[in-house]
Amino acid sequence: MIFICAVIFSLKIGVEELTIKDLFSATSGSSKLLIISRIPRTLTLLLTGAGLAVAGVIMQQLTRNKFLAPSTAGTLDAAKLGILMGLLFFPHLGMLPKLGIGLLVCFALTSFFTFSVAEIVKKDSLLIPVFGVMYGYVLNALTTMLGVHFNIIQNMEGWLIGNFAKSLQGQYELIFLLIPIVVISYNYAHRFTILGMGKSFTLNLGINYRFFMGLGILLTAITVSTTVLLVGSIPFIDLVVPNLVSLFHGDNMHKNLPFTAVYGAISLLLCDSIARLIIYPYEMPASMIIGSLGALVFLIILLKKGR
Amino acid sequence: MRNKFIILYSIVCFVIILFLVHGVSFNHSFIIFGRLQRLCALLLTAAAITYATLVFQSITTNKILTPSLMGYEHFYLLIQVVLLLLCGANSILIASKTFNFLLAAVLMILYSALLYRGFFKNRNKKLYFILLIGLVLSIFFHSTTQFLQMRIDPNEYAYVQQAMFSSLGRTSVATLFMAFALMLFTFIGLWRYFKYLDLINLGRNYARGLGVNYDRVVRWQLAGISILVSVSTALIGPITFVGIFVSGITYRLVTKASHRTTISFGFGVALILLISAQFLIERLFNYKQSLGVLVNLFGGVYFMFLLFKFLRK
Amino acid sequence: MIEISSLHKKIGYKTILKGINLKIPEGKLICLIGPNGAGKSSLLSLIAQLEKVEKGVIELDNRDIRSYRLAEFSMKLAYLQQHNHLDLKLTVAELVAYGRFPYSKGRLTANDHQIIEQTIGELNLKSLRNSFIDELSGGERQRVFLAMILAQDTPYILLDEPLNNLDMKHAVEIMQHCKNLVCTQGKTILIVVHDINFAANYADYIVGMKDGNLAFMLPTSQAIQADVLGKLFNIDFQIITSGVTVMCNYYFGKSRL
Repeated sequence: MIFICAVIFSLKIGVEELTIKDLFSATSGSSKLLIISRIPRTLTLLLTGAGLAVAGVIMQQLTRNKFLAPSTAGTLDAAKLGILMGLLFFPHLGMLPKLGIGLLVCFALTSFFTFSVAEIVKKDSLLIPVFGVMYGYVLNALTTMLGVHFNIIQNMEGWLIGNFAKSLQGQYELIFLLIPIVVISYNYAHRFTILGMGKSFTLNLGINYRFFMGLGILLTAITVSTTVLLVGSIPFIDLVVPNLVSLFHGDNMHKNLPFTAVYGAISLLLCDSIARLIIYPYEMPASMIIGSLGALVFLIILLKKGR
Repeated sequence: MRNKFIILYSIVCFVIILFLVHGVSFNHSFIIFGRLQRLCALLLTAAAITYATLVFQSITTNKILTPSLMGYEHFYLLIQVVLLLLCGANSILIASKTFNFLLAAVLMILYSALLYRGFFKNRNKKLYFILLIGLVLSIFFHSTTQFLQMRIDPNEYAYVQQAMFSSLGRTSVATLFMAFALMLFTFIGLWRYFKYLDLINLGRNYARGLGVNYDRVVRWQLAGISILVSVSTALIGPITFVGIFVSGITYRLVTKASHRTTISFGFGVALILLISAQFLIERLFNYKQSLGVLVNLFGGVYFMFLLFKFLRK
Repeated sequence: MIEISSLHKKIGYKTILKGINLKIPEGKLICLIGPNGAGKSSLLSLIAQLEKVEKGVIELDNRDIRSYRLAEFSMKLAYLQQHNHLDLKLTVAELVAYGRFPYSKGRLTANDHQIIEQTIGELNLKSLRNSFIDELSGGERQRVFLAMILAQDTPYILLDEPLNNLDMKHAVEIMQHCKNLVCTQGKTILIVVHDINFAANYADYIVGMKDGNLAFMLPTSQAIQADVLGKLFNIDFQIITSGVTVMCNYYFGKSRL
């Protein structure tokens, strides 16, 4: 119910006045607006939110660490680096090859971290995300250096800030890639939970540890690179939403995954709506709202758990 | 041990001389003066970073952490942006570097006092927990800064941008002198706790058992560290990973745990790293890269090495 | 003398100590025994001022321990904690030298050096003198920390399970050394032990604790009785005496004795 309201709300707001009636009656002006801008934007928001939240859950399960998610394990920064490399070295290629390069880099760098972390079953659980963030800092330094060297730092800042204003018809379609990802994740949810119990435990149950570990990381990497390429970096959603879901619904991943996806989608929609309204008729990047609100919520979760 | 010191400090001298005189004849006193000024900035930064990191690592009993992670750098930027928004570019708080510097330092100390309050209130709470909060806060500061930046007058925006990029370009004789005074003040203040530092290594219980007021020493040290980190941040900008590199090399080469030894050795390591990086920037990259980016990259790679060694242990 | 009156301790909502009244006599070896979670370690850390006394009073030589300055207190009482891990490049001799810190504040005198060497010798650590503590085995490290505490040369010494990780030979040596310190130098040593037989053979007094309460404080001969120990640990005991040695047999639990 909240979901539907949020969707309609997101479709409705914008510089051009649209009434609810307009949404359903197809006058030429409004339908054009809808098709070119509003619907792509809303769909992108929904899929990005859902995809990132699911990616966060997978990461949590693989490493058995509540505070590890793409934005605290360097995945986000790895994807930025990869896509920047794609842009720099193969500027003439289209979206898909660039995504491929970004994905490759992101996958390699994330596996590097996740594999080494996942094998430690019980190290200090708070220390690992700290290391993850530091890992991200290093990758970021590399990205900045490349940016400075090729004189595209200003450009880079522009498209790396998570912003949905660029989701227009003709540019956003790649986001549909996230649908099969979420479906596959749902299918294998149970196995990811088992993987989190450790290598020997997993092998005992006759599950191919390396294969499914790789698959989980690959799914995460695809989601993150796609969203970075299309909308820029969105922090915290992947970290906060799974934690909130587990707070309210417990820890059964298979059961929770649909909730997680829907909550992720709703939170991103709401953040984007706030971003569009707060300095209306201008809009600010959604990632700023997410960064501030997400940090706040995460701090509250952290303080509650740390007690 | 003595040999290592001699070798280390001969390298330091070599790097300093190379930095000062490479490619100039002696009648270019103006150029030499500029280089001397940059050298002083690097000296101060090296001292601040070395002390802050080594002592922070003793307090946390973890050799791959650094105080820069607590969000100081992003907080510093936020302070600058807020000041600019509230007071405008012509206000004394922005225009006078002295006031700006002092205000930023005081705010950062307050910030760390708040952060560490939880740590001292409940001893069962790991410092990692506080660290994670610091990290989250820094992401929060970052996005708030970005948000506020959009509301800044484009004419005044140049000021923020200047603060964001770390380089030696914005040091002046006045700021150097102030940084020096502040650091001297801090070191003098911390001097009477210096002899307790080695006992902090033993942990709270033994330090107390040996008659050291652990909590008070740690509190003063953390306050001192926050001043030092603020000073170095204000001086040349964000350099998160330098400290880790310095401490890593130091612990690898020095076989004594006494702070007198590690700190004086680490200082030399930091000097070599910073000066050669600056040298490379001036000669090889022709000022295209900023000091912070280069040094962070270098230290960052070393950090990864340490991290994976730690994780595989 | 250490005098404890109506001492309470809470951690969170859990009461760890429920009103302890205890007088610890001077110049004796006292063993503290009791089942897990009895509050033995908490009691020790309260006496050592590692945690704040919130309710009740602890007096050391007729003075409230809170009124001592820390530096002064560290010359009166030393404490060995249960777990000792340190990832530091410190040699054994350097660590033991820290024990002299309350007196020398970091500048060792000839007298300090003499005490350090003597302690190292007494605990048979001479061969390890220049090894780094992060390269020692658990038992060796335990002895090194004990040496540091003993170098502190205080009239009162609290040891929290000092026999952890030690093999039989070293455990016996340490207990003999403690006994020796009590007899020749008149020190007061309070030890938490898990092996009841060490308490039975070395202690002058035995303090039993259970569920945060003081169960008894008795001279060893009265405490090492099947009914007293049986009540404390909820398990059947058989006391076997052979010459001067006392053995508490509890290996058959409830059923077979």
